[in-house]
Amino acid sequence: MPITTTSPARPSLVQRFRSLTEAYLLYVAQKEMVRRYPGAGTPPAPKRGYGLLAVFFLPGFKLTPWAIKKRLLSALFRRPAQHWPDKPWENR
Amino acid sequence: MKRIVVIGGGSAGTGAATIAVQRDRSLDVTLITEFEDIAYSPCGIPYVFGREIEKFDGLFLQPLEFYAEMGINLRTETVVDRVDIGRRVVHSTVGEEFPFDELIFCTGWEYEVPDLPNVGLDGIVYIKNIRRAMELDPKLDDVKRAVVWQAKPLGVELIEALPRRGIETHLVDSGGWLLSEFADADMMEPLQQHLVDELGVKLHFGTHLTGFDGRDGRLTTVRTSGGDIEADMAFLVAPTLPATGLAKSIGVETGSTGAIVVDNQMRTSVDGVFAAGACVETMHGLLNIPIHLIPGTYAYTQGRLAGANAAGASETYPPVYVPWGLGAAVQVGGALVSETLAQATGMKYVVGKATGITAARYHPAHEQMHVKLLADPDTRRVIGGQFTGGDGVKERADFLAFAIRKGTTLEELATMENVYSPPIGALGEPIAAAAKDALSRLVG
Repeated sequence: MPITTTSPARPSLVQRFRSLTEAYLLYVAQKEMVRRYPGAGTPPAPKRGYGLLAVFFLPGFKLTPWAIKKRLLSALFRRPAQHWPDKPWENR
Repeated sequence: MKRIVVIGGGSAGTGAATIAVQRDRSLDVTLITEFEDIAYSPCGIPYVFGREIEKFDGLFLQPLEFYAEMGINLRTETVVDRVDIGRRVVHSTVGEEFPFDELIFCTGWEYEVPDLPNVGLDGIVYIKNIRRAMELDPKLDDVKRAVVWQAKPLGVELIEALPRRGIETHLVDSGGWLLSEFADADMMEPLQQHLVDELGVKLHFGTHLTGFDGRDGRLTTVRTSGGDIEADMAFLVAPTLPATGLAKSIGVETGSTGAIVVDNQMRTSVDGVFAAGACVETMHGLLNIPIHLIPGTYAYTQGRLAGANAAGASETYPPVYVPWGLGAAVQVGGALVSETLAQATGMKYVVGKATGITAARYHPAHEQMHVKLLADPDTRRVIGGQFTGGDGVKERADFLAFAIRKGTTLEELATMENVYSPPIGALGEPIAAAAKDALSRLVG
C-alpha cells in the first residue's frame, strides 16, 4: 500500500457524520478546557461546517443523557460482528 | 497443504505470517509486500533523526533471511493488483498468481495528502517508510528551519528530535495543545514548557495550515492562518486512513471509521478472509464502539491472532483500553478517557489530581510525577487518567489501562500497595493520592 493518497476511498454517510461530529465535539470541549485551565492551552481553530453543527447538532447532543447517547453511538457505529466479549477466554 | 497468503509486511503482516508457520510447519505461507522491507519499527524513525538511536539498522527486527528460513515465502517489492475471491487467487501487477485457502489483509494505513496549494513541492515529507527516511536523513544536515504539521504522537517525536540536529523547529496545529485529541491541556503543559524552554521549539496552536510556496520546485514557505513561516522542510503528520481499497474490492465490509469490520477472531465479512492491524476497527472497552488504532502493539498482537486463526486456531481478542505514552526528558502518558474527551461526550465524571515523586525524596533519582484520574461518580469506577513527569509514566499508563479493564474503583486505587525502594519508588504512590483526591471531591 502506498504511504500517501490523494484520492481516498469515498467515505460513507455514517463515516462522514462520525468524523465531522467527533472533531466538532472535541473542538467544543477543547474550548471549555482552555477556559477551565487558563494558560494551559490555546483556543482551537474552528473548521468548516462547525457553525451549522453548533445550531443543528450540539443542542440536541447536549440535552441527550449519556446513557442514551452511549446506546445510540453503539447502535449507529457497531456492526453485529463487533459485539466482542470483554472476557472471551471465559467462554472456552 | 493449506495455503495462507498475507498481504502487508508491517507489524500485523509479519506477526500473522510468523505465527502461522510456527503453529504448523506444513502450511504454505506467503507474505506479500510492495516495499523492500518488512518487520521494522517506523516509530523509531524520529529517534534516528535525533541521533538517540545511532542507525536505521537498529529498527529492523530481523533480516529478511530469518523469515525465509522460517519457511515463509516472502515476496517483497510485489504489488497486488487484484484478488479473485471466487478462484481464491491473489494477482500481482506482473502477472504472478498466489492461490490461497485463507487470506489475511494487513494493509495498514496511509496518509491523506491535504488538499492545499503546492503540497507537492520538494521538501514536503511524510514519515512512514524506512527507505525514504534513510534518504531523508542526510538532507536534514542542510535544513535550517522546519515545520511539523499536527501535534499527534509522531509530530511530538519529530519536534523533540529535529532541534537536536540544530534545526529551528515550528509546530503548527489547529488544536489547542499537544496530543489534544486524547490528552488534556494541563497535563501537557510541562512537556510543552520543556520543548519551548529547552529545545527552542516554536508552537503555533489554534492555527490552520493553509498552503505552501516554493522556488524552483522546492519549498520556501509554509503558509498558516497565523502567518507565513519560512522553512526548508515541512513534515506533514497528515490524517491517516486505513488502507482498505483491496479488501473492499472483494466485498469486505468496512465500518464507521472506514476500516475493516472484524469479529473478535479477526474474521471479516468474507469467508476465509481475515484482517488485522491498522486496516481494521478495534472495539473500545469503555465506549463499546469501534475505533481505528495504528500503534504497532495492536497490529502485532492482532496479526498473530489472525495468523493463528487462519492456521486453524480459535483465538480471541478482547476490547482495548488504550494505554499510550511518549516523550524523553518529560514523559507523558495515560489510558482511555481524558477530561477533554469526557467533556466532549457529555459523560459524567469526577477528577482527582495529585503530584508525587518517582523515587525517595532523599535520592537523586527522584522526579516529579503528576497524576490526573477520571472516574464515574456513580460507580466510582476509574475511566481514564494521565501522567506527566519522569520515569515510570509508561508503567503507570499500562497499569491504569489494566485497572480500568478490571473495573477498578477509586477506593481500590486509593488503598493500592506500592513498591518503596529509594532509587525507584517513593513512600507514597501519586496514583493513590489522586484517587483519594477524587474521593474527597465526591464526598465534599
